[in-house]
Amino acid sequence: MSSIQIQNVTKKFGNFTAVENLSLEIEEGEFVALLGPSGCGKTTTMNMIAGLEAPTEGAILFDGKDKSGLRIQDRNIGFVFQNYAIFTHLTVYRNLSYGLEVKKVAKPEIERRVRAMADRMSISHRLDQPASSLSVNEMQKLAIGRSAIVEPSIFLLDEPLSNLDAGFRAYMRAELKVLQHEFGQTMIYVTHDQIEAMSLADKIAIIDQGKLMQYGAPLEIYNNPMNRFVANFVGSPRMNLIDGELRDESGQLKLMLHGGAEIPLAGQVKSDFTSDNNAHSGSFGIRPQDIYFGSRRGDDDIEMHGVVEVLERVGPKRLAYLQVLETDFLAFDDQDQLNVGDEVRFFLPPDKSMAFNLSSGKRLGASVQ
Amino acid sequence: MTAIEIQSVVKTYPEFKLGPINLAISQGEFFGIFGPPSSGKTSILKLILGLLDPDEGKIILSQRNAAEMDVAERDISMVFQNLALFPHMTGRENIVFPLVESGASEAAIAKSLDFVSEVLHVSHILHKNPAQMSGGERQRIALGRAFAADSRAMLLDEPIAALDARLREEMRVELKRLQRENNKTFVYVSHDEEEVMAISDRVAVVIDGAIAQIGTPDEVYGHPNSLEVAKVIGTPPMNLFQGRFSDDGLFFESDGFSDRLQIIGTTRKGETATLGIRPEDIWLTDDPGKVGLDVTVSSIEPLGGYTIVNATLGQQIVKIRAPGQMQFEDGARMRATFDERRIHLFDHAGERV
Amino acid sequence: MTDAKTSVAPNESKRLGYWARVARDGNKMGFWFVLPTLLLLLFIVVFPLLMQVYLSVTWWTPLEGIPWYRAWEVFNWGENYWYMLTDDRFWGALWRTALIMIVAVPAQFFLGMALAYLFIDNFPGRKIFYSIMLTPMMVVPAVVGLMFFLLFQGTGPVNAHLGLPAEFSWLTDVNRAMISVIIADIWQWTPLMFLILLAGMLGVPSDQLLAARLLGGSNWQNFFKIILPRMKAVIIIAVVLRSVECFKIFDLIFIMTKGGPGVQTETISLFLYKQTFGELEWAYVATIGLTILIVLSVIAAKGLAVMAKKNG
Repeated sequence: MSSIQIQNVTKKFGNFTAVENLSLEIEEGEFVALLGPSGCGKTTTMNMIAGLEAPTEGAILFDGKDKSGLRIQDRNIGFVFQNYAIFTHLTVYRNLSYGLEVKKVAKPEIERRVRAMADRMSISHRLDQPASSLSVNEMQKLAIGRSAIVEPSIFLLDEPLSNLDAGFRAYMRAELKVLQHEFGQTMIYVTHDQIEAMSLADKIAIIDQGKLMQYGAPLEIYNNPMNRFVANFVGSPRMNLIDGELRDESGQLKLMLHGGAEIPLAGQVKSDFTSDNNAHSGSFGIRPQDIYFGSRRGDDDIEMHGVVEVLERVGPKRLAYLQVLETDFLAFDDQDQLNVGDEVRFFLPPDKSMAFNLSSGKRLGASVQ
Repeated sequence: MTAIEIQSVVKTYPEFKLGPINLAISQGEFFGIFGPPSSGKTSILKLILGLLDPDEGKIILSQRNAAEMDVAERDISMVFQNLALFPHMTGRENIVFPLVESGASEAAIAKSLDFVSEVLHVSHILHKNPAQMSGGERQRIALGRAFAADSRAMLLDEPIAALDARLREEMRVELKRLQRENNKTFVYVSHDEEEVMAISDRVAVVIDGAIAQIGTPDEVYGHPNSLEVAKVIGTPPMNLFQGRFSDDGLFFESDGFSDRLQIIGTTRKGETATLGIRPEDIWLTDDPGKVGLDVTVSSIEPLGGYTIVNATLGQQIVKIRAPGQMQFEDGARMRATFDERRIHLFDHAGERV
Repeated sequence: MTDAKTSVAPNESKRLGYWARVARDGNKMGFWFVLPTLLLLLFIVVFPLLMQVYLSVTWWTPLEGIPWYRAWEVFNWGENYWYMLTDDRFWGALWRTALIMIVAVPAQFFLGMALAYLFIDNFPGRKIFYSIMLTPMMVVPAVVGLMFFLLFQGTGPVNAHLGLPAEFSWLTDVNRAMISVIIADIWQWTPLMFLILLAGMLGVPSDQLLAARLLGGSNWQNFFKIILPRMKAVIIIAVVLRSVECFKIFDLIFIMTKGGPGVQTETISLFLYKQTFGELEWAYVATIGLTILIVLSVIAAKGLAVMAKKNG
């Protein structure tokens, strides 16, 4: 088990800056997800932690010590590859035993540990079979087991669930969380799937274009996104982020949207927008589940009118795309009462809405520290 | 009007049998085909396209037997999972390729290109080669190429599987709009249940080479007609409890339950059965009045808008989808109960009761 | 937009002709495409083979005065085969061919493997070295023969470099002639071994190699436990290919020593050449050629069978 300090790390490939001045503190035993769209620099960051790439600038410390001089073999890092990198020419047993064999661990000890790990990962019945005969799901378990058996000081996982079918992914998500508790190791998990990150991690580092956008506990990030990128990236279905220009019409502050629609601002979100005098254009954010239909619930709630354009079944609920001129609002059709083409009235509660500066992307308002 | 009809089609492989398949896809419909990997989805597409001939049964395209039509004559375009763009051609050349091949006039090609770049918003990338485009842009070009052909129907084989999660959500709405605004027939194949359910007007669930259920997403989600369908539709999946019907057929009994559950009578008295409850229809409560499950919370997945509670009932994992955000101590012992009107009962053969 | 097509009267009874069905069935179409090539191959391969079998059981030579197809008139019940088994010159040639194989092929293999291992990682100038490495393979064997003929002259650069007197002869010495030939063969064909083995080595998935390193395996351990087992098929191909090629070695030796001194570097190919154009024993040549073909086929088939089993 190790703590990791990433200090002002920059990584350049020629003229391309993959990671820019990134700093992260990962505590011993913590489960941290590096989350971002593909090409954002999350995998490069993980490779630098693993020692596969050297930072151009900055340092990565393990328990306060710099390990940059160490060979990969001596770093004691568990690494689960996206495609598992199973040794397909060996049996399941030999895959599990590899990390112990090369360290010249005694045969009976290897046998004991391999059998225990195979039991833990429920692949015991496959031990003597060639690893190439495993199903994708079993390969996943084998890949984790093979890394875990050498008791690494940190555990890195590179999109380990992305090749699995949806059902097994949901199962494996819960399983990984249990495993992390059992192993008690520091785990770093790279993913582009925010649901995976939210459900697994103690902390999430959101990265975009090589820069750290926000670092915190999943719900902290969800409830309090610091910028427009994070607001957009976290949450499923995505948050409504409506861009427009701020205009003051005889005391009534409005957000004028592209295509002519407008949101009359009120309450908390209005004061958020006015907290920054320099903001001329802004982004109005509200999560789909906070939009409601029917009768008004709060005095400040903003009333909108739109047409139901598309209805999607998303799990237990139907997600409605409400078109207001050229702008779409996503909301849940809780009562299964909407039909495509309906004209509907809906409300945006200001205390659940967020304001962003459109040019800088920064969250506006007092609710952010 | 029926655009594509598949009548009792059977295709036999050495180790796999597809069918008999019966399907009728209407003109202008967004038809989803969902199934686990290697359940036979892609074979159905190939049969429609004419890349495979059925061993039995027939395929009817707009009232004409497809057996007499070769692939080109069937006039069906296809978007492949790997897109199959021509890497040495620009976006424009890729899009107009089917038109040039079919010998369309210059004017017709220009008109079609204008239309496609308008609806797919690709004007700005027409000059680029596929290698210079982002994943989403390549996707659009591939769609554009299929669209430009202005065919009878478009078949899409996991067309957005390779994209990031967020982009996938955006693309699927866009696909739906595209289909609806142009009144096209789309046949959409995917192993991603959420995607198919979100996008389709009707869904066929394919399991082990046979169609297990056809219906609107609401029907398939709300009334899966077999245990097999119940298992594959819904994320996280439905909770399933083994048990039996009481001897008078008025109750369902299961080991983990605090009491037996009264049901609308069944004729399958005393037989074993499975009770399914979706994660959102089950909740944690202190109310001792209802039939409950004494569970131990093992972990929670806070997803912001809702929370998934993983709990154990004996050896079984019970997944509960609770609205909003909540925190629990791991290992907390709780009583869970469920909505008795929203249960799914399956007999020992897996048929819905 | 599809209305126009639907108005076409459906004609259920219309059946497709044979060729139309062929056009829609990949397997049938494939058969017709391959057929001409198959016939050509039949003519090129099978006919000469049968001719060889036929001649090998006769006394026929071009001096016989009858055309080859009438060779049955001098049918000899396979006496050629008996003669071959008791022919010391044949056995000597076979032994020398085997000697070249036993020495040169392993040398090429180990050198090729070592070089390939150096080339899996990128280093400055890798491409240039790579091109230089491959040149010997591209040189016409006759020219290689000439090069080494000149190098190994008594007054040539080898002796000059090693400080040996001009009387120290390589190509006319009973033992050293063979050494010279083997060195030339190794020089020319190590690059091919290197090329095949490098391709095989690059075929080992790099993430598996990385995984092995992350699990703590040293480079040495990973080479023997991950790289080598995965290259089994490629190694067998390379070794079988080079071994079979040893039976064909001709131009190199012909130019360097003409098989001499005496028959000290006479391999199977040179022996056959001399039998063909010196002695004009064409039926005997057919006998030996056929025997060697069968022996090599058995060896190659064995090698491939081992490979198939390992990969199975």
